[in-house]
Amino acid sequence: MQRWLIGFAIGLLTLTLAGRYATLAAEDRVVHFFQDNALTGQSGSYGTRSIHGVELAAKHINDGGGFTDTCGNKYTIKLSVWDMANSHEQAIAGLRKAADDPTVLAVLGSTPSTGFAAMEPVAGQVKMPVIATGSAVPIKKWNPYAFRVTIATPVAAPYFLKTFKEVFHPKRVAIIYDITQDAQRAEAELIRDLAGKFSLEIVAFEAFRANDTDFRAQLTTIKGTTPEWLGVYGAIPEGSKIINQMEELGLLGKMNIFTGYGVFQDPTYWDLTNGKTKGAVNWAVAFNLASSDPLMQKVVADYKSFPEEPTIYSVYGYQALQAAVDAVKRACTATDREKFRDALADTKLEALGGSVAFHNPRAEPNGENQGGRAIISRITGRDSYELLE
Amino acid sequence: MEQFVQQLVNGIMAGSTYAVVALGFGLVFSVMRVVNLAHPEIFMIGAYAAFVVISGLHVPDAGLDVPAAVALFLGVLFVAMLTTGAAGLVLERLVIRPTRGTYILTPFIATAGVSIALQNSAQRLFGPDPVHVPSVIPPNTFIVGGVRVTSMQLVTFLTAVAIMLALRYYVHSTRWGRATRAVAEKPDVAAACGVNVNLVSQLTVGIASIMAGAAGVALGLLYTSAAPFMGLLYGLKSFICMLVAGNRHIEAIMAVGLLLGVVEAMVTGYISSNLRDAVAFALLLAVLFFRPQGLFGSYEV
Amino acid sequence: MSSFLAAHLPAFWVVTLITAGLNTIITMGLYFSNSAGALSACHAALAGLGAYVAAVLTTNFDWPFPVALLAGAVGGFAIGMLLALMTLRMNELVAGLTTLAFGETMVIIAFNLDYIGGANGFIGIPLYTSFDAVYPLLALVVFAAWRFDRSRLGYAARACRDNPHAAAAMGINVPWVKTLVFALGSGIAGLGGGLRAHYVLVQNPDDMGFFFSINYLIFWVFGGSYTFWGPVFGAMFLTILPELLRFSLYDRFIIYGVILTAIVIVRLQGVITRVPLGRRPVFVAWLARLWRRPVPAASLGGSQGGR
Repeated sequence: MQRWLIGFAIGLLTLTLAGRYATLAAEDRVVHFFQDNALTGQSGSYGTRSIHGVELAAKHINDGGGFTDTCGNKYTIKLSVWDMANSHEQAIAGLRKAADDPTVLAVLGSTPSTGFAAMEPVAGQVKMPVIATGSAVPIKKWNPYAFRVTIATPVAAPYFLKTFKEVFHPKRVAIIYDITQDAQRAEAELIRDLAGKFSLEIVAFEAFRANDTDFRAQLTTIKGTTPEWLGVYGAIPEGSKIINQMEELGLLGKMNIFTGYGVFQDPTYWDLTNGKTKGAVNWAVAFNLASSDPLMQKVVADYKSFPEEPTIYSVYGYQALQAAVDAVKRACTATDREKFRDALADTKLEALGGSVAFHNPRAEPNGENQGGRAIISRITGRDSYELLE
Repeated sequence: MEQFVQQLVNGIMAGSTYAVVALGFGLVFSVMRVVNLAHPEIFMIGAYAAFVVISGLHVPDAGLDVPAAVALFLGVLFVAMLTTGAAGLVLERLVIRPTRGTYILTPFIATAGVSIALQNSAQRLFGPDPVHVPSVIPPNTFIVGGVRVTSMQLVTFLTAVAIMLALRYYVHSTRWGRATRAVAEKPDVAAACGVNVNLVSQLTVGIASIMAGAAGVALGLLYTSAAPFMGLLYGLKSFICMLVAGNRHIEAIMAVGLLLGVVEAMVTGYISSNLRDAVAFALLLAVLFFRPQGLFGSYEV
Repeated sequence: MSSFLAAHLPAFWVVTLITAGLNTIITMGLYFSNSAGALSACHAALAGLGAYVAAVLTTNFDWPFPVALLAGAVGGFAIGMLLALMTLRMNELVAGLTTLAFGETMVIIAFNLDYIGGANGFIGIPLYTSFDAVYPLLALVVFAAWRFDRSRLGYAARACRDNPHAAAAMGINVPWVKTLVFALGSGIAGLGGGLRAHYVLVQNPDDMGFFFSINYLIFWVFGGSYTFWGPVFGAMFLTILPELLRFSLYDRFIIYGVILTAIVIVRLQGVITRVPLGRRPVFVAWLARLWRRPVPAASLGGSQGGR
């Protein structure tokens, strides 16, 4: 009889404790974000940084015990990663897989435009919210489910030209651009088209292709037209070679260089050109790795756990997760994609290094980041820039 | 006029970068009728070997005086050539020997698989970003009448010439070189005459890979960077050079490489940089139209 | 059929199967083109041409999908014919180089044409392709290949490939056969490209480059270049393989490269080899043997198929 009583008491205690933990678990929700980005292939360096930015943001939140929404529920973040290997089809496959999985709330990515250009229409078809972290390809027709935190050229370039004109008073400008990359080419052409409005004369407009290694022919042509400024629009491997070859041809003393997308602020650029980018000018999303913002400093310090250095794409990834978490807070759900999308569509958030603002009503969809602020900076060191106004 | 000469020099120097990879590529093709798609990746291994050695020794950027620089350059060259030579021998034994002699595309796709594996291994080992290779040769620029050439460009050009001369010496003046030529012309007859075709195959791929290593060092230092996908561009251009040159003379490949570089520079300078590759290809097609056996002749008509 | 599969297969497998089907159609085009001895290193560009034509017609001019697809195929056919005529008198390798140069030239032209988007690619293509569109068309193409193999044109093409002089001596019009067969293959590639454009919904000039053409060549040779089942197997297997390797996030393509090389070395003639015409392919013969009733030994002729 006594054994029976003890057994009963133990059983009762266990059930009570289990019940308590069970109800605790019910209050703690898990929100699942799916990353569809390039880990391998030629865009691997950008995609990896975006993925690490998202992971770092999730880690910061989870280490602080998760986050709480406006309805009182607690959440922890779960991430999964899908490698799209720079292929349209694999990007879509990932998106569809995510859409099929009821635990996934949103897709973060992709960074290369090969991914996002294909994912954008599919996001509308499968009704899965997608936040892109770096693509700048022009989108003809937005749907309510696609967003991106990238600052696009049409917003930044005119602002850049205006400040550029006010600070430096240039007259003769040349541009060398990658004809095979949509973002670089779009900006090069936009600057060429807007040049007249800012009374700039485009004296040379030379093209090259991704993977090219020798630019001396184009640079010699540019040298013959004696510009004051040269716009270098290409990815890091090509851009760094262009700058090195400019020095070999004696052009660095004669002209200054500018570019877009904050590319010169990438420390890899400094390393590959051995510091020749000092004095170069670029517009960037308003982030500064050396800023005194405590969050930025924490990110830079914690990023050391990853094998590469942080760049703008890491920041985009971080911002995307912040925007997603902010939307979850307002939507009070970890699984309802429609509620999440509606909350995301009205975002105004001060995120890492800048602001993210979406205004994406279903009637007139537009997934661009309206809050992004472009800054003009001049490179002063491997990790330092000065702001120009 | 000065601009014309500068573009010509640009073209010759760029052409020598193509030639330096195409020479080894063409050697393997003309001797064994094998398109070794992994050759640009072996070249990439050479560049990364240079990176590992130079950054491992913590060499300051261009901080050495000339004798030390030359010694370091030769040392790096030696290590890289050893590495790529070994890689080439392994490649030959495992992949090329079983697949050669059959349909021409079989070793092509087998080595394509190897090249995919090598590119992604490099990305995994060294990261997806290009890595900075500190320059060893002091970066002097020589200015002659307004035309500028850097010392590293000259070194690359000399490397291409050296490779070409070494291959020429090997093919024409050594016993194994004669055997190689025999295998290139008529493999069955050569085998019947007692030539060890397997050994010739190994030597050929080994030598081509050693040359690829030298090319990797030269171009890694020229562009002060090494990247996992740096071989892609050179693969395509070498392939074209090789086919246009014909497989009779090894010097032809160098000549066509330089020609391609000059054509590209002239088109960029005087026509349009947009259409550079289109015009270059069109010109090559025209050459082939009028001389289908390749610019300098080949064994099969 | 689409909804049946959608209900029973995870969506990501549907995507993978559609992608495999599209690759197979284009590789079948390569099979046709190369059956008379040509070596086409530009099939990705031909597919891309069909894609751009079909996409522009549906997006900008609202043509119905089947007609636009047909127009893409006709475009591929025409350019293929042009290319074949150009390379008629060249030796095999030089012709291959010409196709490569041609493909690259088409890529450069696409980059420079702003009407079709240039580097931004052509976007906004409506989604018309589904499983129901791809697999019936693929079955049609495979059926056509089967009939082609047994037709006079097929025999003539193989004769031209094996020995052009003997073929000419037998009265076969070698230039005409080579051109027609190449153009047919290019048309099929254009069809595949049009389907792909309406699935991926974006068409870049990059997708037409040498790298992708090599991929189709790999599918074709890997699968087996002597029978039409070869490209089917090659394209399907090599498209699905990277998806099966997703358990290894970073090393996926290293494993893929190793597997590809290993299988090529082990099966030098391609995975699906063929006994001389007239007998069933080895693979099918092996399958048939599984179902066949045991037959008395005396009546076993030589008809069991090869190895």
